[in-house]
Amino acid sequence: MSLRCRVTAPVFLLAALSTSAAHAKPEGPRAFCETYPETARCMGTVPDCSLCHTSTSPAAWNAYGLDVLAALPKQAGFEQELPAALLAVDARDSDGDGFSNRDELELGSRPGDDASRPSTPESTPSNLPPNPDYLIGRYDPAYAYRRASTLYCGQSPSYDELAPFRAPDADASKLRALIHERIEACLHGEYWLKEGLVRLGDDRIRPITNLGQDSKVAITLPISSLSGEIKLRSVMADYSYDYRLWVHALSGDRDARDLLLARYFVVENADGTTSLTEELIANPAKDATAGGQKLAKEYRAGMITSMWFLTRNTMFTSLPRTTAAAAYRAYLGMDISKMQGLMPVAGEPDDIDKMGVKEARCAVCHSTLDPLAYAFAPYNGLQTGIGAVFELVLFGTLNGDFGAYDEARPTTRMPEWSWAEQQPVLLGKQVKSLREWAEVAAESDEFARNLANVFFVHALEHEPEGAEVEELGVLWQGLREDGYSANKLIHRLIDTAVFGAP
Amino acid sequence: MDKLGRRTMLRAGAAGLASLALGPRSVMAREAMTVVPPADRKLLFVFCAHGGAAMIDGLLPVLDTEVGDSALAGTLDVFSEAQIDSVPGSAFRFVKPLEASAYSFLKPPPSMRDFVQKHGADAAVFCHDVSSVNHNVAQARSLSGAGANAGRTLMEAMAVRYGGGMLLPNCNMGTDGYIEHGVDGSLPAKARHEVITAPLLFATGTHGTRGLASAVRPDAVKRARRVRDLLDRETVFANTFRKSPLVAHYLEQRSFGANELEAADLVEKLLLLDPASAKAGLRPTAVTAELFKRFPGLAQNDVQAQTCLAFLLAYHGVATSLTFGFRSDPVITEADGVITTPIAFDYSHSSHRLAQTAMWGHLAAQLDGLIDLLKQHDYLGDPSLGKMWDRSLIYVATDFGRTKTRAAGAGSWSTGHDLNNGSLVISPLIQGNRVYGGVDPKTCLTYGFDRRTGAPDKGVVLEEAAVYGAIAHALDIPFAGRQDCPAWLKA
Amino acid sequence: MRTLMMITALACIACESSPSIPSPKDQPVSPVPQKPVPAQPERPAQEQEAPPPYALSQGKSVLWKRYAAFERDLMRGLDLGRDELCRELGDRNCIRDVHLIALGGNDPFGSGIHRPPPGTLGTTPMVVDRVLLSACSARAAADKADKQGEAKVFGALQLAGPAPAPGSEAVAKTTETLFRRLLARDPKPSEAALIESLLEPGEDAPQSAEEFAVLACFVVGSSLEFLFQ
Repeated sequence: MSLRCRVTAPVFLLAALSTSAAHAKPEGPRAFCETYPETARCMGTVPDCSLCHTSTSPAAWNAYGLDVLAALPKQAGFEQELPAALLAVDARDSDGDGFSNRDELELGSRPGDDASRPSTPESTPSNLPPNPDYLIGRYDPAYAYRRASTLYCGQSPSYDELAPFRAPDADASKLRALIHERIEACLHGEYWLKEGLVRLGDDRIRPITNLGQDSKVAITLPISSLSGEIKLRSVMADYSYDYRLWVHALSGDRDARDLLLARYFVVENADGTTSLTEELIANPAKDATAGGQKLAKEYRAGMITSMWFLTRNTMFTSLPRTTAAAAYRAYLGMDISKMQGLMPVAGEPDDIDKMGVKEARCAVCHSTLDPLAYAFAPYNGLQTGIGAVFELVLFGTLNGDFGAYDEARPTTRMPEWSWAEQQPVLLGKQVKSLREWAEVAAESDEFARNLANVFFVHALEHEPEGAEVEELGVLWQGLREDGYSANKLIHRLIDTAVFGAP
Repeated sequence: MDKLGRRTMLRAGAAGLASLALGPRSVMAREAMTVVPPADRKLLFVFCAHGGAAMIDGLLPVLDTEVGDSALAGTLDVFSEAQIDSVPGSAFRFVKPLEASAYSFLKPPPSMRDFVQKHGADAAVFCHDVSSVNHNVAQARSLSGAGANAGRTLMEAMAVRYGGGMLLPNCNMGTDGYIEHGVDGSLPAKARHEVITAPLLFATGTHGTRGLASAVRPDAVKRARRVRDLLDRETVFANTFRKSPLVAHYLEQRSFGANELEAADLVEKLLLLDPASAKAGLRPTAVTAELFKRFPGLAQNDVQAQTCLAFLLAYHGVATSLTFGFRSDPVITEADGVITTPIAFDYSHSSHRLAQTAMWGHLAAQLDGLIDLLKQHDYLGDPSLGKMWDRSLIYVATDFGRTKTRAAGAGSWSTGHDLNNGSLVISPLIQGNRVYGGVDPKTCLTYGFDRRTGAPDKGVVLEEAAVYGAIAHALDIPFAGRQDCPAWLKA
Repeated sequence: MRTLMMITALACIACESSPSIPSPKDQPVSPVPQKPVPAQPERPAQEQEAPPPYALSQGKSVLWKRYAAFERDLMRGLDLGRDELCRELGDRNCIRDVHLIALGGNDPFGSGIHRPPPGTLGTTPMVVDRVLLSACSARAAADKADKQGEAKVFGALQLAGPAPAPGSEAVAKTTETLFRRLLARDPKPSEAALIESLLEPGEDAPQSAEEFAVLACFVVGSSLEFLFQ
């Protein structure tokens, strides 16, 4: 069999930086952040390859990358030499945009891209009279009110609601209080809880209608039961639990870390309200292949152990790389498929499932990804035990073990598995279990930064750049003080200049 | 100096340089779109085979007897002679559908025979590897050539090359990675794709008034638009935010919509409305009526609807790049029930052969229907321009291949993702009825070929950039570093 | 020398990035060229206009009012239910079912689009026009049918009658109502005059009060100020 990388489920694989001068260098981002720990690119994240590269397959560098490459003595190891090479080109203006590399790094622009320059404060030429309706370059309460209302209430303020803002002698602090009062109400309102916030979860939950609870696909199973032919709707899991937890954790001043730490399920009551339960939930739909939640409490870790998350991402795979990568992307904001968040672990990848990931071009990412994935190995994807099969045959219903915990799963699937060798590592820290993985993740700067970024991008419709990166930094660093309340984060966001200054 | 203090100072310095600052890349030195006379235009159809269409389960099946070792054959994704079929003179074998009962919840798929028999002469299999087995990444790379052309997708490059003067040169009905824009900031804005998710009624979005239940006369609406435009010069809001790229772009689109898009009067031309149920004074054209005959289920079958809209957009000269195909959700109709598998080809995770045979069958049927239409119709309805097919290229983009092995002797098994695969390209612009590269029966892995001579070469591994380059070569899309493929061009 | 080059470059950028506020006159439709034409810009250079004499925003933070707020603002402004705003061919909800992506939404359950588009699409302005014409027509028709004198929006107009006279109180009141309901502010005199200009004589002038109502509503509701924040 070829040594080409292959995987038994969706997994990432990226080409290395292979040339005669350089092979795979996943250590680059880490070395960069050890050199410049306080730059925006290293606060709650690590830079991706595009900081230096225009292409990674084949390897090609931008102007900054070429300067760094030229400054590498290439006598000791890359990781050892990189810091000095970076510092050596600090004063240079590699991309010729008028800003030194160091200044660009500190101000959040890209030193190898002449179109990327430090942003400047929005200024008003002094010889122009003030704008008749807007406070240009300053916080404008009416402007902020309209934006906030549109975003969080799903509706602009009405003529009457804006009346206080039209008053010529309006007190700015009172107007701010009005904004927050209105938005606080909206954050508990129907639009935000039933639509606005829900849509923010789509790209993390990634539902598939006909594999969810509303599936119309009916399959006839190739076995007969005592009651005759077995025909069930093809349901992989009920993703409405995921949406409910997403909304629950990010509303009502709750601790958003519950996205990764919740040991409870959010269930919908008959009257449409929700409540929490820590009990297992049997498949309520007798005509469906799955439903409810099957994971014992001690193994739960919020969104990343829901039945939907595990079945959709793990499916039948032995080492759940896709599952780990999806968790890393959705909740820590780093997409390994885009070479973000590379923090390679020495000796990895071990290629425990014989997929050929040791090959240099695969190892670039898998040296980070595989140790992330080890923690997910005992969690079932689409898998069911013998008890469920008996139930199926006897009663024609399925209440399988999708998304359940099975300590023996790794060794059953990967005979060479050893917990001593397959040591899960997240953000450079060894962890013993997925629960610990989730706890490390939930306490990390990366989690806080990503959470703030979700709401920042939603409100501003672009990734933070330049000075905005600092505003984002203040936001995510404030999360701890605010008990990780998304609502408080939103209130802080509304108060920022980037939100409220036209 | 503390960090914030230094940053503040730096920023002040940056402000001093603000007068020299260029705008974002998006407004810098954009390449112009070329306007090509209709006679010289070409058409690119990209069919998204979502989830991993394995070439060895479509047009490149390996016979168990070719492995040379029956024990080994029992562990590979190979076929008995009874499971495959061929047509005289064809370079391709193809996999037959399974027994109807094997499809369980699915309506049994159509055979690939019609497609191979009618269009095999223009079909080519390009054997290659890919560089990712992540769905989204692999899908995007299948269209960008993994960065082969400065991050520009094939459809974007096509729009720049042939789309000048077209109304919506690049239309995309795909999902996930197939609907990602390229990353070339110098791309003209109009070459970026128009997202379409509701193909049956998309046409209504091309006109501000047609088909509406409003008694207002069209010329009165024109007057109102002129007044609105004046209002948008007058309001403090519009003036204050005139520098906003978002607002400026919208104004460009609004001017385009009112002055060009509407003038083309596309509603009836693109509306996929059953002629038997014409509504709101709208009458589908004769061409649309033909579509309902060729694809009678299109009112409920989303993939058929996408295919038909792609055809109409090309036929009427609206677009040069058309992207469409399978979605994650299956096609379900009242008449036939479940037609395609959930998660399309990726259902191979659950049942490889069921998924591959079903989806290849439907893929072939869609392409068969589309090519029939392209062969029947003159471009722009103008006989002097010749048949649409003469200027067309269909690229079946897929994520990656599937793993090649199975448990010994298994008749039903699941597969994962594999870098190794091949792509199906159909066009009269290339030398068809040919496999470029080959497959090693002992591993079921494909191998590449010499792009100059076309000779198969087991030592050659081609990747996305080579596929991109070869298609660009066939479509005469020049760019620096293009990996040409002289071997497959027609003399 | 380098500075000179940058200033030259800047001048070029200014041409490209200047606001493209359209001309009030109809543009002729560009004919399809019949022979090869070398590469040319997508659009001719836009008419240059003097900036207004007051401070302007750099515009980076402008917010597109996407489908949900667009819909709800129309529902409130015109006092219509969700399904009364616009239905394509009388059947499918324009905003939610047909043109969701063009109006800035995403559709995870139908077409599997998990993220909204980053900006407006080529068809967005036409879709906006459709929705506005439909919704405004629905409101005007409902107000016209109301026999109890409880018209919601166009109570100042005799909707069954001819177009109102320019300068009439009915026009002023209608303009004020529309600005307040849709833009949450009072019209400035110059803006009110523009709405009134709808009534200037001509074949394309509104021929009834109802038609005036719909057109005035359309003008205000499809303006930039309604669509962006």
